[in-house]
Amino acid sequence: MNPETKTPLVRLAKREAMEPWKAWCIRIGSILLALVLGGLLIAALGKNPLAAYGTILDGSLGRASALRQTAKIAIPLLGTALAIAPCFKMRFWNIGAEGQITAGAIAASYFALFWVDKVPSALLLVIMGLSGALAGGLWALIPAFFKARWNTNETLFTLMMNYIIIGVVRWLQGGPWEGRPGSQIIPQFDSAACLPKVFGVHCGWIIVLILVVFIYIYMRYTKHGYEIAVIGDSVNTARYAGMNVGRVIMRTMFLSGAISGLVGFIVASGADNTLHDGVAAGVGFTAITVAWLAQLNPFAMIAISGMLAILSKGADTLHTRMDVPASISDIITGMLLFCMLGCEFFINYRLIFRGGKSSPEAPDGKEAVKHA
Amino acid sequence: METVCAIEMRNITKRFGSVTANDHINFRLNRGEILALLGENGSGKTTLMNMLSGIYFPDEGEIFVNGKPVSIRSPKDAYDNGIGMIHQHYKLVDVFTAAENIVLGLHESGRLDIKAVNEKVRAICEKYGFDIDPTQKIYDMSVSQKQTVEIVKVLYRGADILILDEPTAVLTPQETEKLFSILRSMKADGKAIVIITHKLHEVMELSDRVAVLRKGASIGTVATCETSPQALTDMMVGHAVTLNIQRPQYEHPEKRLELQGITCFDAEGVKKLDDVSFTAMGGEILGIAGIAGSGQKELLEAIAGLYPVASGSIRYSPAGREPSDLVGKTPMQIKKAGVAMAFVPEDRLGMGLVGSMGMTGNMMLRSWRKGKGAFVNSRDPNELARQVWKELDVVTPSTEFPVRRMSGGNVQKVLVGREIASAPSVLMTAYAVRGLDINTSYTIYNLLTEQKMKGVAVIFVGEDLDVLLELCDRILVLCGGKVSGVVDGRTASKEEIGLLMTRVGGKEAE
Amino acid sequence: MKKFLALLLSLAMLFAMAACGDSGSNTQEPTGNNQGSTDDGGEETGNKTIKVGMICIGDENDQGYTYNFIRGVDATTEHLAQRGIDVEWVFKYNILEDSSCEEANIELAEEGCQIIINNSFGFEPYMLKVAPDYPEITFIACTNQASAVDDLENTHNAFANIYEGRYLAGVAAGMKMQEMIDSGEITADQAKIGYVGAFSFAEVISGFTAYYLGAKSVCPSVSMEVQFVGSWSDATEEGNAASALADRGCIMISQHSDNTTPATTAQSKGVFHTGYNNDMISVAPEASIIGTRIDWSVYFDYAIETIVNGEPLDQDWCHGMDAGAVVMTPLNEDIAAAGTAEKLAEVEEAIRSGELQVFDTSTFTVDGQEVTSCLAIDTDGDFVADSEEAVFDGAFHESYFQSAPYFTLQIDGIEWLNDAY
Repeated sequence: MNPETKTPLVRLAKREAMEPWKAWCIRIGSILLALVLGGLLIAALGKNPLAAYGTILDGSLGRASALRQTAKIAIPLLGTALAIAPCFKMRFWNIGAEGQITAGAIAASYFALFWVDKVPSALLLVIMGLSGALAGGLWALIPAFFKARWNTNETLFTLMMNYIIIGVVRWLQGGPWEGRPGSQIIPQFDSAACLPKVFGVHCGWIIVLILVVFIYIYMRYTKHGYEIAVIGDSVNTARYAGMNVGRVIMRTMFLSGAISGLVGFIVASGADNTLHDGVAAGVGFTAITVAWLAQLNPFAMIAISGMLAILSKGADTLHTRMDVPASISDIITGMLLFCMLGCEFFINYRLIFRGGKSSPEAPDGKEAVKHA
Repeated sequence: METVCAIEMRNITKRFGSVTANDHINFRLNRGEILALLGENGSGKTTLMNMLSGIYFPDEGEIFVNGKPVSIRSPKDAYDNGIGMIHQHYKLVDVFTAAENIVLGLHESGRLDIKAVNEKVRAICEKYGFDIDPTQKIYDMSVSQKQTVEIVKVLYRGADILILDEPTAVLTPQETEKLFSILRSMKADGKAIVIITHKLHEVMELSDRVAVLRKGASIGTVATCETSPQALTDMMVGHAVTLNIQRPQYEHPEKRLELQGITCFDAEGVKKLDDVSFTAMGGEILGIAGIAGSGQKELLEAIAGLYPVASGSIRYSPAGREPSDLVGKTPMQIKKAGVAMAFVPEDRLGMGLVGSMGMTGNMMLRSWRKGKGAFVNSRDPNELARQVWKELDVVTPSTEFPVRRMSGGNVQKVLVGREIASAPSVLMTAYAVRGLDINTSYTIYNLLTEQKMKGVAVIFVGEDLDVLLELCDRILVLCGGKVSGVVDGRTASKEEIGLLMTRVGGKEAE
Repeated sequence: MKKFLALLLSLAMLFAMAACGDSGSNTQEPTGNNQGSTDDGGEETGNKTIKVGMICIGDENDQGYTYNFIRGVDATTEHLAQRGIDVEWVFKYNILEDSSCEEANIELAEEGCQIIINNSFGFEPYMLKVAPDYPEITFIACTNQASAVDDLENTHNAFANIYEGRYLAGVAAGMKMQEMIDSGEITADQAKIGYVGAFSFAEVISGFTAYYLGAKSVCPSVSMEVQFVGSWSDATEEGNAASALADRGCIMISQHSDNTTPATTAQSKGVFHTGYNNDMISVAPEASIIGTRIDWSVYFDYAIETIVNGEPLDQDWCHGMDAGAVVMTPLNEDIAAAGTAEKLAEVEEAIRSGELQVFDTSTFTVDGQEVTSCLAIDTDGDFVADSEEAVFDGAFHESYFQSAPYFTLQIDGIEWLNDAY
C-alpha cells in the first residue's frame, strides 16, 4: 500500500505564536460560528433567527432602559471577575466568590438595617462598603489559611464555604432579620442605605470601573502582582526567591474576597436593596468564565462581562417578544461560551489535513500527539 | 555475516514551523546489532526516533520495516511493526504493579488474567536476565528497576526493534553495566537496538555502529571498531573540542561552610539526610556525586534554608565577616548573606525560574523586594538581563521573551548567569549542565571555575562522573542521605566513586 | 493565507447579513404580532385587546401555586373573549424574589403590557420600584399588602379568603374523623390532625387555624399538630414532615405547601389527607378527601375588564366564597364520610351569607382565654400590628382591613411542633 494514503486524516501541531490580528479574527469567527449554530436552533423552533438576534440586540441595547438593565447585570459579573483574577493568576482556584459576595452582602446589610438612623447616608454607604469588603476578605481568608498552613484543597474548600454562608443568610432571613413574621424576607433598606444612581444605574458601575484600573496596575506593576505571577508559575521558584508563599496566598485571597465582598455590597445596596440567600445568583461562577475568557486581562473583562449581560438581557426580551423558551437562550449562551473557549485551541494548535501541505510560513513549535 | 535490515528511513524530513528538526535523513538499522545514535542536544535524535515510535509523523520521506514500506501513525502502529521505544521519562503508573503496567493499554480480548501475565513477564525476565518481580508496585522500585519494567513492557508487546532514549542518564555505573549486558544478550537474540546517547564512552563500549546527527542532518554512520572518541566528537560538534576541563589551583583556600551532623526528614517523616558533615572551602569546587535521589537536592535546599533541618549546624564564615549559623534563617536572609543556589531540576524551570516571564522578570527574582513602595523596579533587572544576554550569548529574541520557550541551554545560562551576577561567596549548582551540549557545558564549567578563582566556595552537584573528576577539587559522595566518602578530584578513579555511590559507610547497600 | 482571508470574508458577510436582517425584522415584528391576535378573534370584529404581563415564581410544572394562577389565566382568557375582550398574556416564569423581578417588571412594561401581575409575596418591593416610572400601567401584587396603601394610584393588591375554603376542608376532615370515632375505629382522643406548613407566616397560620376550627365544629375532640418545613416548595421535606406526623399518630394530614408528596405519603401511611391548590385525588385516591384553591379568574376577570373599560380598579381586592374566588376541588365520595357533600353545601351557604364567621371567637381560646382584642395592621413598618381592631361582633375579621392575612394567634388545641420558621 502506498504510505501516502495512510497519512492520518487530521494532525495537530502546536503553534508557537500567532499574530494578534489573526488570533482575534479566529475569536471573532468563533463568535460568529456560535451565532450561526444558535440561529439554526432558533430556526428549528420555527422562528426567524435574524429577527431573534435583532430582538436580543434591541432588547439589551435598543433603549435607554434596556441599556441600564444590561449594565446592571454586567456590574457584578465584572466586579467578581476582577476579584478572582489575582487568585487565578496565582493558580489558586477560588471558586468561592459566590460565598464571598454573600459574606460582603451580609456585613453591608447589617449596617444598612441597624445603623441607618445613626449616621448620614454617605458615611453609611462607606461603612457598608468597607464592612462588606472586610467580611468578604475574612471569609476568603479561611480557606487561604488552611491552604497555606496544611495545603488543603482550595477548590473543594472554597466551594463548600459557599453553602455555609448561604445557610447563614437563610437563617437571618427566617430569624433575626426577618421582616414580616414568617415571610422569610428581610425588609427593603432605607433609601439612605441604597447606592445612588448615576445615569439611571446604581453607581456600582463607577466602582467596578475603578477596580478595573486598580487590578490592572496591581497585577502588572506592583511587588504583590509580581509575587502572584511567580507563585502562579512555580511555587518552588517563589520559595527560592524568598517569597513567603503562605502569606502571599492569604493576602491575595483576602484581596480577592474583599473585592467580592464589595460586589456583595454593591448588589445588596444597589440592585436588590435587601439581603436574600440568592444575592450572589451564580455570579461567582459565571465570573470564572468571564475571567478565563478575558485571559485575566481586566480590560478584556469589561467586554466579556458586557457581552454576557447583553445575552442575558437580550434573551429575556427574546422570551417576552418571540416566546422563545428561556432555556433556548441559555443554550445559545452555552454554545457561545463553548465556541469562544474552544477557539483558543485553534489559536494554540494547527490542524494539518491529509493531502494538504503544511504551510511553512506558520511558525510552529512541537507537534502534539495526533489521531485521525 | 549477512545483515538483515530491520528499519530503513529514507529522506526523512520533519519541520516544526520554521525549524527543520530532521533534514532528509537516511537511517538504517540491522537485526542483531546495537546502533548508537549520537548527537548534541537539539541535533534531532529524539525527533527522528519519535517518528519510528509513532509520536510524530514525518513531513517527507519513507519508512521501511523489514523491507516493506509502512506508515506509523500512532504508538500502536509502531508496536504492530515490532518497534518499541523506552523514553527518557518513564511512563508508568506508580500504584500499579510491574505486570499491571506492562499490560496497561493492551486490548486483549476477554478477562484480564493477571496470573498469566505474571508468568509471561517472568518468562521474559528469565530469558534476558532481568531482575524484577511482576507483582511489585512501581513506587517500591528503584530507577533502574523502573527502566527494566519499561523494557519488559516493550518486549511483552512483541517488539524486536528497541529504541532507548538516554537510558544510562539515571543509572549508577554498576547498573549501567548490567543494562549493557542485557542489551548485548538481546542483540544476540537477534533484536535490533538503538540507543540514543551523548556519552562517548558508552558508545565505544556498547555499540556496533554509530550514526551521528548534527543540527538535524545526518553526518554519517561508522562502525564503532573503526572510530575513536575524538573522531566521533569531531563528527558531533563539527570541530574539535578540548576534552580537558581547566582546573587551576586556588592559592589560599579558606573554610567557608562547615556542616555538622545535618539531619533532615521529608513531609512523610522519611530521613532524607542522615548526619551529613563536611566542609566547603572558598576557592575550591566541591563536587557532590551520588545516584539520583540520594539527598543532593535536600542538601542544597537545607543550606539555602528551603528545607527544614531537624538537627545539626551549618557554620557559615564569609570572607572578612563574623561566622554565623545558617540553620533557622529564612531563605531570604541566607541569600542576602551571600549564599547563591542554581538548581536545575529535570524540567529545568521548576525551581529558580519563572517560565512564563522573560529574562527581565527572572532577573527580578533576586531584586523584586528592593526599593520602597508598592511598585517593582524593573529597570535594574532589565539592565542585568541585557548584560547576561550579551555576556553569556543567550539566544532569545528579547529580554521579554518567555524563558519557557527558550532552548534548555539558554534557560540554564539565564539561571546560572543570574546567580553568578549576585556575586555570592557560596555558589551551589545542581545539574547545571543537565542536557546541555558540549560547548554550552564548557561555558558553564568556565564560569564556575572563574568563580572559584575569585575565592567563592562552589558546590557542584553533577551527574556525569567524568565531568566531576575533571572539574572538581574534591568530590563528596552521597548514598542514601549519608556521606559515604570524600575523595580528591585529582587522584580519585571513577570506579572508586561508583563504588562509594552504592555503599554506605563501607557497607554494601541493598 | 488566501483560504484564511476567504473564510474571514465570508464570515464578515454573514455578519453583515445578520445586521441587515435586524432592521428588517424589527419593522416586521409588530405586524406579526397583530396578525396573531386577529387570528384568535378574527370573526368578532370590534374586540378590545389588552396585553397583560404575568410574573410567576414558578411555572406550570409546579402543579401547585403557579399552576393555579395559570388555570385562572386560562379561564379569564375564555371568559373575557366571550365579553369581547382579547387578552394577550406575556409570561415570565421562574422569576426570583430579587432584582431580577424588578427587571422582569421593566421588561414587561417596556414590551407594552397594560397590566402587570406579580404572583408572589416577595415580588412586591421590586414591583413598587418600577411602578412609579410607568404611571399609565397597572401593577398588581398578589398576596402582599403594601401596594394598596402606598401613594401610587397604579399599584394594587389582591388576595382571596382562602381560609374559608380551609374551613370547609376542615369540616370534611372532621366529619371523616367523627365517623371513625362513631364506628369505633378510633377513640375520640385519637382524632389528631397533622398539618404540613411552609413557614409560620400569617397566611399559613390563618389557614391551618381555619382548618382546625372547621374540623372542630363537627368533631369536638379533634387536636392538631403543625410541622413547618421551612420552604414553600420542597417535595422531599414535605413528604418527610407528613410521614413524621403520621408516625406521631395523626390520622388526617393537610398541608400548606406546593407539592403532592404529603398526599402520597398519607396514602402510603394509611391515613387521610386534604389538599391545597390542586385536586390531589388522582395521586392519592385512597387518602385525599377534598382540596381547596383560589380561583384567580374571578379577580382577573374583574381587574382586566375594569382596566379595559377605563374604570378605577380597587386598590385592595379580597373576596371569598361570596364571589366564587375560593372554590373546593371535587369531593372524593368513595372515602368521605356520609353526608359530607350536603354538610359542605350548608356550611358554604352559611359563610356566603355571612351567617357563619370562620374565626368566631366563641369557638376558640388562646391560653385558655377567649380573645377579645387583636390588632390587624402594622403602620410604622416594625412588623408588629399597631392599629385596626380585628375582633368585633364576636369574631376575628380576617382579610377585612387588607387582603393579605393577618391572623397570627396561636390558639389552644393546635400544637406547633417547631416554630423556627
